[in-house]
Amino acid sequence: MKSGTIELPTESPTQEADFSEAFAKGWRVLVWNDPINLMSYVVFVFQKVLGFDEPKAKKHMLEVHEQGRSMVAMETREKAEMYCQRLQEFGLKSTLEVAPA
Amino acid sequence: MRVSQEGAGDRQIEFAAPEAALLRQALQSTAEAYETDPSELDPMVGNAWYGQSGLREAGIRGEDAAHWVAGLHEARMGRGAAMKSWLKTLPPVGQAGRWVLPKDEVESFLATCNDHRLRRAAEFDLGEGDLEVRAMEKAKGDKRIALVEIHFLAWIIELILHE
Repeated sequence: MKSGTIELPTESPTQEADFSEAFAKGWRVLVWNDPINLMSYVVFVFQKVLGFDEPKAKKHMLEVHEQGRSMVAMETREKAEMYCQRLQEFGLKSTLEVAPA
Repeated sequence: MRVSQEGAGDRQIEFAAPEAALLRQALQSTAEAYETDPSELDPMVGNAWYGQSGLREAGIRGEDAAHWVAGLHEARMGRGAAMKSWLKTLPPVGQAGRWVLPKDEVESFLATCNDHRLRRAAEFDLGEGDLEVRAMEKAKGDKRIALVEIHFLAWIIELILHE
């Protein structure tokens, strides 16, 4: 280090990648089918947690039921984690996934 | 059982004596399970309530995963105060009666009933086929009791959501 100068911390390429990855809306929130949760309850939870209107909540519920899963949000990492955890608090099988670049 | 909605959005539920007793029993056992540390639960139940599948793939591991589970546990324990009040106000054992579920507790009540269903299904590893009425009629012992509870709470959830 040169005397009298302050060296600023530099971000490594990995840190930069982590940073942009966390703030990009590239995080998918998925909900998976299970035999116990009622269809009406899943619609209710989608409305409460994700703020969907009823037709949108029903559409995603049917996707879960018929196709085994539905992507219910594509968000920043922080927001996606928040949605995923809230859905799990209500007993839904929810996971996170990074969208392919 | 009959459910009606009052002006303020509270739900009035009229219970026959066995219905109130069954709900009381379900709430009591779920309250105990909520208080239990996730690591001490029946592994199947722990997986249903605090499962970590999908977290690892998202890079949530170690301390972050523990923090995630702690958050879920805290949310469930947070329903404890409301549950105590439900148990106090439900018709006494052996009696039919009317019960009022306040509007701002509907969400917690539904989630609690659903958690009980998930827990009982996990305890007996119940799948789609087990939930058919014919399968319930054939089931015996504790498995039959679990199925009765699962169907009964489904009925309550449906009635509340459709009222």
